[in-house]
This record gives sequence, C-alpha cells and structure tokens, in this order.
Amino acid sequence: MDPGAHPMSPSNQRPFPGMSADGGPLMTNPEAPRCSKARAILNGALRPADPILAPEAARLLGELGDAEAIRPLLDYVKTDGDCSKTAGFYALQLIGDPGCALELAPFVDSPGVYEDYYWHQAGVVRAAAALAVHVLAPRMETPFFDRNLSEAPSVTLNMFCMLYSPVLLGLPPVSAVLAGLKHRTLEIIFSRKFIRPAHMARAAGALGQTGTEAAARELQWMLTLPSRYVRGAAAENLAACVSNGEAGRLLCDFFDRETTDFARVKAAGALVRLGDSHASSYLRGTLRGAADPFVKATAIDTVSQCLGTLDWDELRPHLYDPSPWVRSATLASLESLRAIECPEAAARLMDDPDPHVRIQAAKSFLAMSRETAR
Amino acid sequence: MTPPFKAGVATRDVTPKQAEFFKLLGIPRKETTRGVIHPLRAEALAMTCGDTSLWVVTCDEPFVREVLTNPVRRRVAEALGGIPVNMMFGATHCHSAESAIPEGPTPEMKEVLAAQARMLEDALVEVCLEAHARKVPAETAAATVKPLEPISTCRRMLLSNGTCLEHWAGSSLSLPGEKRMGLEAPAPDRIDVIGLRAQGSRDPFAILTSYPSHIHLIPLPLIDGEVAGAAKREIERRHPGTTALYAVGTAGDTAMHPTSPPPPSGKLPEERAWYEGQLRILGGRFADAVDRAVATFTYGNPGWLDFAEYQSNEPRDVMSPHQPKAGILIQAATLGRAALLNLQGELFSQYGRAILEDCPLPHLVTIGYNERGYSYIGTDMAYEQGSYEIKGILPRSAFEEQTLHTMGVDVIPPHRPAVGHGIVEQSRQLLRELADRRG
Repeated sequence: MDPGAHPMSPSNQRPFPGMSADGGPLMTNPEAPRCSKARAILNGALRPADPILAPEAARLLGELGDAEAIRPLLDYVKTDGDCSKTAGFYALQLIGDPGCALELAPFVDSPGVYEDYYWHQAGVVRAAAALAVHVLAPRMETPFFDRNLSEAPSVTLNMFCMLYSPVLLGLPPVSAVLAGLKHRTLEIIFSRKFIRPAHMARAAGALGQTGTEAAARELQWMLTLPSRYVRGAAAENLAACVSNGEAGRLLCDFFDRETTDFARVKAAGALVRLGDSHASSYLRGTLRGAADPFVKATAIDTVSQCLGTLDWDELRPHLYDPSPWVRSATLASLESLRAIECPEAAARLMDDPDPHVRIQAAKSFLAMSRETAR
Repeated sequence: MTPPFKAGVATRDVTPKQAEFFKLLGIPRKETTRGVIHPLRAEALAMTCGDTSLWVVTCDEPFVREVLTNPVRRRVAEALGGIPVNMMFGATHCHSAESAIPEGPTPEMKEVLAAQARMLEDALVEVCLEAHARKVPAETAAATVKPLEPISTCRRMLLSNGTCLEHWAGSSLSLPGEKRMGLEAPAPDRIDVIGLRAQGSRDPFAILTSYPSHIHLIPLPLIDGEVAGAAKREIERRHPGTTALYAVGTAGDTAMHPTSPPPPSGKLPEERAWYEGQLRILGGRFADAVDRAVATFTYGNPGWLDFAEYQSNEPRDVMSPHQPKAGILIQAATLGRAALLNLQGELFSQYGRAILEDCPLPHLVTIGYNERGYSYIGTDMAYEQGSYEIKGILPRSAFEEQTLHTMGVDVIPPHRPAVGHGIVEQSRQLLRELADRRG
C-alpha cells in the first residue's frame, strides 16, 4: 500500500454508485435494465404530441422526484405541447434541484404560450414559473410576485391562487412571497368567486388544509351543491376541519342521503380514516362490484389511501380490468402495498397496450425499485 | 311514378362593408375589427319534389335569429306568390363574422349596424330566390365518411376528481397534482355529405356537408369564414362548378384541433400567418374527407322530399332566458336515403350521437345553430363536471354576475339538461314520422 494512501475503513469501502468495490462496473443489479426501460417510457412520453400523455408523464416524474428526470423535463418545458409549461414547472419544483431555477427564470418574463386574456393562461404560466423559481432558489429576486402582490388583486393572480391553492397552502410561509401568496389563496378559496366545479373541488382540498371552523362551514355548504364531484371533494376534506366525532356524524349523514357512488366513495374513504368499519365494507364492495370504470378507479385510489390492510389478492384482478383507468389506479396503489409481487406486476404492465397505463407502470416500477433498494 | 326532383343553388357575399364598426364574437376581443381575410358568404340550396319545397340556407354568421329569418321567409313567400316556404337556416357559428355591438354604440355605429342587418336580410332573400330560379331537374347522392386525419376534438378535459377543465387549442393551464383522465368525449368522427347534380351531368353543382365541431381557432381582429370558409373554398377548388354549403352539427363540446399551438408572440402578423396555415391544413383535411365521400356517390332521383317540424313555446326560463323568444324549433326533412335535421343551440356531441343511434336513414345531415336560440346544452353529467360551456353550478346573484363579468366571463345562462333530452326525443320522433310517411 502506498504510504501516503488514505486508510481503508469499513465505512469507506462502499462501492461508488454504479461501480463495484473493485472499481469495475456494477453488474449485480438485476433491475437495471428494467429501470432503464421504465425511464425510457416516461421520458419518451414527454414528447408533446399527446395532450394527455405528456403532462401526465411530467406529473409522474415529479412525484417520483427522480433527479434523472431533470434534463428531460427541462427540455419538455421548452416545447409547445399542451400544458408543457405548467406541468413541467411543477414537476421540477417537486424534484427540487436548485440548479433548475436559472433555467426556469426566463419563463417568468417570456412564458412562451399564446396569450389569450380570456383564460389568463400566459399570466398563470408566468406565475407558475415564478413559484417554481422561488421554491427552488428562495434567494433569487421575485419581481413578478413583488409587483403582483403589492397591487390590487388581479384576475390573473386570483386564477393562479385558485388553481394552485392546495400547493400554495402546503408550502411553508418561509418568505414574504409565500406568505403573501398563502394569504391571497385563503381569500380566494373563501370568496366563492370561482364557481365552476373544477375550481370548487380544488378549493375543497385547500379548505381541508386550513383545518379551520370557517373551512368546515364552507365544506358543509359544498356538501349540498348540485355536483357529485364537489360534494365528494368536500366530504373527503371535511374531517380535517372538525373533531372526529363531529366529522363522523356529518359524514354518516351525508353518506346516507347521498345517491351517487362517486361521492359516497369519497365520504366512505373519510369515514374509514375515522375508523368506521361499515364504510370499509362499502369501499371493498364497490371495489369488487362497481360497473362504472371511473367510480371503480376512484374506489381503488381511495381504498389504497385509507386501508392499510388491503392485500395483493384484492388488487391483483384489477390489473387486468378492461379499463385503462382501473389498471392505472391499481398500479398506483401497488406502491403502498409493499407486496413482493408488486414490482413484477408493474414491470409486466410496462408493456400494456395503453400508453397511459404504461407510464403509470413505469413510474410505479421505479418507485418500488427504489423502495426495495432502500 | 316517381315525382320529378329539381334543385338549384346560389351564393351571396355578406361581408360587412364597414368592418371597423364590429367587435367579433366568442372569447371577447379587445379591439374592433381591422379588416377582412376572406369574405363571408351565404348559400341557399332550393329543392322541390312533387308538392314539397325546401330551402337549406347556410351562412358565415355566428347566429341567425328570428328577427332576420322571419322577414326572409315572408318576403320569399310573397315573391313566389304565397307558396308554402319550408326553410332550414343554419349558421356556421363563425366567430370571425360580425356580431357584437361595441359598448355604447354611437348613432353612426347604430346606423352602420342597421345597414348591415338590412344587407344581410336582403342577401338571404336574394340568395333564396336565385336558388329557386336556378332549379333544374337534378339527382342526389349521399355518403358518410370518417376523416382520416384529426380535424376537431372534444374540448373538455376530464380530471381524476371528476370535474372538467377547458382544453382548447394551445391550452396551458393544468391543476398541479391532478391526474388528467382524458378528453371527456370522443372526437367527431363523421362527416355527412349530400351531393346534387343536374340530370345528365357528371359532376355535382352543390355539396352540402355536416360536421359537429366549432369552427374557430383564435380571436383575430379580422373578419373571416374560419375553417368552414376554408373547407368550402377547398371543396370548390377541387370540384369546379360546385357550390359548397357547410353545416355545423351538435358541436357544443367540440373544437377545431390545430396541428400546432398558436404562437406566443401576441403579434398580429405572426398570429395571422399561423391562422391561415391552420385554415389550409384543416380545410384540406376536410376536403380530403369530402373527396372520399364524393368518390362513392351513386346519384339518382331521390323520389321523395318530405318536411316536418316541431315547435314549442316553453316558458322563457326553461329554454333560453336571454332570448326574447325562446321556444324549441326542430325541423326535419327526408331526401332519398338521407335525412336533414335542423337544430338550435349548442348541443353537446352526445346528443347528436343519441339521435344518430335511432335515425331510420343511413345518412343524417344535421344543420345546427338554427334561428331559435343559442347557448350550450350540456348533458346531465356535464352540469356536474363543469367547464366553460357549463359555467358554474350555483344560481348566480347579481353580485356574482357582476364578478364574473369583471373577470371576463360571459354569463350566458346554461340550459337545463332536460332541454337536451327533449330535443333528442322530438328529433327522433320527427325522423321516425317522416320515415313512416315514406313507408
């Protein structure tokens, strides 16, 4: 041994990532080829031809939080695909590499999308870029928000705060900008200015995050509105704003008088989290018997979030459901199941005929492989 | 003995003479119009078989209203000696034609607008009379084709929370973290085509098409016939001597599908270049499909032209609270193996498919945007899912109306879904009655 060499201790004898202990290429990871395939599926889906597939791939890559997705996502936000900016910015924001901030900063001034003042989309894209930059690099200057937050509330910023309300309320108020955005968001979600179901369902999620009595009143009002999707979102979030006993009473009342499967599934999910065994039976029954694939996919999603006891045998049949929605929802739920069969099942569905299922399978496979490696 | 069938066609330019006085429709435009890209046109197809006469009148307008069509009917009937006048009117729902009056019109503007209204009425009367005068012994053919390349698509994106968001050309807004399940309805996949030719002639003198999609792309401050105009020009270029008539079917939730998003610059020359490029592409795709239909045409004397209509005078708040007269008007006709159906409002495509499922004839040319009211007619589920067409789900107070207006959201009250089901049921019944009468 060279006398000047650093001594080898057990702690520094670990192989360098991708290399074996003797310095040669690591050949022992049997999942490496399938991980590469999964990344290729997700990165390949970022091509902007499909208005659904590409933003969905970005969403999944963001949830995965995988640093290897940074370059493909930075390339993706420069394309002109549907929602490529907003979907890509948020994915990069989730991955959290500060090095991306400089590449995203130009979008704050030049969003690169058609400006149609009716939808305020260019303004919202600018705000989305500014938020990502600020979250990734809090010390960078924020002239966009400084200006918008100091002026009278603009329609554009209101729209941004509504669309991003759960995200904004989930961020810690560690800066004046984030505090200002959260304040504006709270005003918006209580204002009833945005009355489309998509906006109200969004507001319901944000209201749940506040956990206040005022939010509880607002959510109870939403339980009476003529959209099952708004009612379902309200039921899902109500328990966060009232005591368990009160939530149980309100949700049971709602469950009993609600006539649609979708909203009942959402209410049942909330009740299961409160320990209601009857709701648990209802969810399992819906999982087995729902004829509507959208309801079935929602039930699978809800069950996987709130039933720790769900097992492989219950989920497995749904991997072969005729509906790609159901297959995708089942794949997503495998991630929390931790059964030994799950990674293999996800790997198989990377060859599913439906591209939307393939990207979910790829994401789930990568997530589970990473979990296994840990 | 088969009764003789005669048909004639005519067109009129209906482009406003003083474009700068108009502010165009739809997604409200910031500025008044600066000029014209392509002229606007009205067409009339006049047909007679036995004792029955029918005019199909189409035009590059956002809407045709009864205030326009009633005088046209009356004047045409008077000019023809009081004969029964069956007329189906259909606008292409062109957003780049004149419509909205700029706020606070001056007396000069009012005069211009009144002159435009008179010009349009005169043009429709003239085009109907000219088509009538040009009738010759004719034959018809019909075909239904599927576009081989995308022309339009559903414009409502279904999210995993069950709600819908707008998904129009170049859409940039997404809800972070929310899964996109797909477009809420299938893309329009059929174009119905009727061809008419003079007896003894090889080629058609008129081609009437029906496709269920909004025809606009982006709001330029320029007058134009949009994709319908482009399709008509391309069909007529490929079939010299033909007049193309373009009808829009049940298009409430569908929109044109550009091959690239509009440019981000906000500069008119670049936007116009993109727009005209898309007109060529989409008009070409439409004409390609029509060519395939024309290639399959088998002409013959239709031997049968029949007409029936359904009218109701519902209370105003049932059908269309923002219209002075609000009942339902559905007209139907049978022409050989094809049916024609004239509908009002902006029915979602699901309603069109429901009518088709029960149509007793193999070809159905739906002529939407008739004279009796407009505004979206969503499905039951759409009212729960929401989207631009449906707006909000709450009864709106004056304050909320004002808030929406301030936000730039127009406040056309949505129809109740029961109206859509009623229109489907009445349409099916009319078509069945006509088929039964034919035997």
